[in-house]
Amino acid sequence: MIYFFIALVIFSMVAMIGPMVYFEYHNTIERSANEVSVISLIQKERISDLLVKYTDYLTDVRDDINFAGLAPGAGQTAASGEAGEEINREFEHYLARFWQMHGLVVTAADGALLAAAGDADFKNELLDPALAQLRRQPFKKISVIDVAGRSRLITSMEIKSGEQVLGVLSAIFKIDELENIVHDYTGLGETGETLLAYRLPNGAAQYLNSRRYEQQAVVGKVVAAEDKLPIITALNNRESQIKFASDYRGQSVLAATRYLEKADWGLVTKIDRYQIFQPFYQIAYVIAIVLFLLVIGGGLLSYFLSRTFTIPLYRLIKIAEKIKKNEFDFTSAVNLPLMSGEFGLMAETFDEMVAAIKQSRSGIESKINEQTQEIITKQQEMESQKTAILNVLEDVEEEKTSAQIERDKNQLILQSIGDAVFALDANRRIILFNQVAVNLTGYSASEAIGKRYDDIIKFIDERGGAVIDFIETVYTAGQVVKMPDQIVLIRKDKTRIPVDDSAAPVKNAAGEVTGCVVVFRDVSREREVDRMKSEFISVTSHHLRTPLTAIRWYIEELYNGELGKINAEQKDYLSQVIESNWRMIKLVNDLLNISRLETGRLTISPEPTSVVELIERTVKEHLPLAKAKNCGIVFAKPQKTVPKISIDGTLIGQVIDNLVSNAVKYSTGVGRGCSVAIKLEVSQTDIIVSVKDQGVGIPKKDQHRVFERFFRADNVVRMETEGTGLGLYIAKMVVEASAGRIWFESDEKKGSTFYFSLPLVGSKFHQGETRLTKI
Amino acid sequence: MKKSYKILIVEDDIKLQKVLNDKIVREGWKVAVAVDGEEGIRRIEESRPDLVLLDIRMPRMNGFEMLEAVRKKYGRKELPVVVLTNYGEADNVSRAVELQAEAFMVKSDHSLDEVVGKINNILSK
Repeated sequence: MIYFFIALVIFSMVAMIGPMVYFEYHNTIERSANEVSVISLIQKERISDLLVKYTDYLTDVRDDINFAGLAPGAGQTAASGEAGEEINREFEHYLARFWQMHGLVVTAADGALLAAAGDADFKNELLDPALAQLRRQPFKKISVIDVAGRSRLITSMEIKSGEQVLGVLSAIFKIDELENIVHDYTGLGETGETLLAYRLPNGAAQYLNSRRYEQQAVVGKVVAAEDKLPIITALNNRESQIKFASDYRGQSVLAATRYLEKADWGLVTKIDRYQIFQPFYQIAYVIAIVLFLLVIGGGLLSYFLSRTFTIPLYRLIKIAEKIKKNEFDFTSAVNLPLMSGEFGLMAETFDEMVAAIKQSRSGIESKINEQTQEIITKQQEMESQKTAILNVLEDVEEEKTSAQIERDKNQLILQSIGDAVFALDANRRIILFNQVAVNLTGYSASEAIGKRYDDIIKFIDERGGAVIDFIETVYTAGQVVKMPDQIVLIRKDKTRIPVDDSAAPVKNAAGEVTGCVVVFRDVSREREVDRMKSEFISVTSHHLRTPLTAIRWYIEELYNGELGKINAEQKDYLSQVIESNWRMIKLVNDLLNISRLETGRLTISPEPTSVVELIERTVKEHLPLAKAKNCGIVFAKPQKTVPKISIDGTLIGQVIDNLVSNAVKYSTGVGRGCSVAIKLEVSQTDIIVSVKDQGVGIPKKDQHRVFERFFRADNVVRMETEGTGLGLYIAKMVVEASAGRIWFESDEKKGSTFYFSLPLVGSKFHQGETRLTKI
Repeated sequence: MKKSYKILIVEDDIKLQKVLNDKIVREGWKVAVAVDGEEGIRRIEESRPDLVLLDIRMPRMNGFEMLEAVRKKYGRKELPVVVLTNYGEADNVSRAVELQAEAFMVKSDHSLDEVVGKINNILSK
């Protein structure tokens, strides 16, 4: 209570004093800023007046003396020239009139002193080279220079005869009068100070006066342009500024800056921050002492007050504790010290209560003994029953453990498999999710389990970006489904990992699909290797083209007789070279196409196209060659009009071309007469094209490899027909990239029929970087 | 009547350069040759060719860089250009179209007669 009271007092004091201090703080700053600003303005005016006065003196001298006799470059000196002598005398006159003037000189354009006069000190300074430099560039009307180690204030003017400049007249003043103004600290208090500086050519400032706190330092101390001292601000800002800053001592000060246009000087008037806030520090000191005394005094007061309350209560508690332990060996509460007033009454009542408790305790004891005996007997009975139950439980536990071990074992196997595994129930909900699956997908097992798989796991086609739901196919088809090529998994963080593998159904005894197990693994490395391989093929193929072209062009020229007649045998030989060369070119083209297809760089640009026209064009191209081989090609055009579909005509044209040329190639020389039949059917959803031949057919054992690259069946290899084994591989990739399918039926020695289908809805556009070279 | 043309061959492969050169000479036309884009630009100023056969991949300045420079001075009709390269990728084709080449031919896919035919075609228009 007492602490609360003290806290309240302190709080209200702070609440009252706080705003007062705050406003007074700001008022003080404002007041001080005004004072400093006003004083700095007064200083500026005083200095300006002084400079005007000095300039007026010089004007008088210039206007009154005739300098015409001083011809520039005539080699006169102050000592020798006649005109110089005359002027020197005049100078003496003015020096006596204007006692502040220390000396007067006239310098020629080349720096030579033409005339000079001054007081005793000045005569000693006459030989100082600084005087000869009064005509330095740029010419300054008012400047400060060091002459023989002392700072002198100089006012200068050009003296002219008509337009011709005869020289520079300068009046030299001791700097004392200026110093007196600057060192006048009236109104600035004990820390106030005024600083005056002029600008050096490099932007630095040089002090004109000695500093209040740096008496021993030279007057001409230089402050670099980069320094943030107020004196630099003063030189660079025509407007007066007033602000807190750090001065040359590193002390925080309130500084007003002024710029003196007349002389290009900077003026700073400042007082220490400490000086402004001194009254505040005193008040704060007093408040701190008062608060400290309040806290100490309040603490002591509360301690003594609380003692009179707590001590009697504490003694009563002691007695109560003894009663609890059944110890009644204490004197009555009334006799305790400090038990007076209300506490006395309380002690009396307490004693009565103790007496009552004593009495009742003695009766209870015998009853308790009886009941305890009863409890012990009951407890023994229960103990024997418990043993029996425990035996039964142990048996059950054993059963449970072996099932648990089995389950743990399965779990362990799945967890330690190197591939990602997850299992689904009949509702497509995830019921198992192993560690590798966690690593690959980025979802934790607890996040995944219980969710529908398609809520969190997405497999897409790397090339097109379409979502590939091969898992659903497992449920509908009821068989193992391998992932299509070039699948990537979208991870939780939206990054992509190339994956591969399969999904298998889980079936119950009745053969119904009750779940699905999906296994997949990270194939980033394999894909990368594949990509590098394609890249390599692409680079090599391009390089092969140059020498192949050279061979082609040179040989063709020879063959065409451009370089002279060749005989029939030579011509035959050359035609063999030409054919081999042509096959190599075709192989290189195929390789390039494959590398483009495999790396997904192929552009597919669908346009409404008539497949009928594509077929007719191909047939027309192949007929002459086929006829030469006694081969017929028949295209059974459908009766109904076939709709145009949106496909890449060039690509699909190449597929048809490949199928027809294969059909012709593998039908000749079989001895059955050669005929190729092309059909086009339109189903509800697709256009289906078939190319049927009665050629060699494909042996059963080779059929599953027909669409592999570089594959050529044994029987065609024996036929010694040319071929790279790449045509069907490319055809398959093109058809699939166009959203179609390609397949075949074949009997060895009876012939083959190749089919491909294209959806009526057409293919999607795919922006790659390349198009297929003509196959 | 067969006119005598002047053809500039810009090609860094010496063997291809020679066979093209010989072929064009046999056609009865005049030839100038350059081994890269920089030389190609100089030759255009020196010999004022009627048509340029231009390779793409060349050291120093490639064919497209050269064509870009040439097009700042000569329009499509003023100086027809046939791009003759082994890099038949679609973006190269579209770049050639952008730079107003008259034709784009993949070297290994065409005979010299076809190249000459193309030149005749373009220049007789």
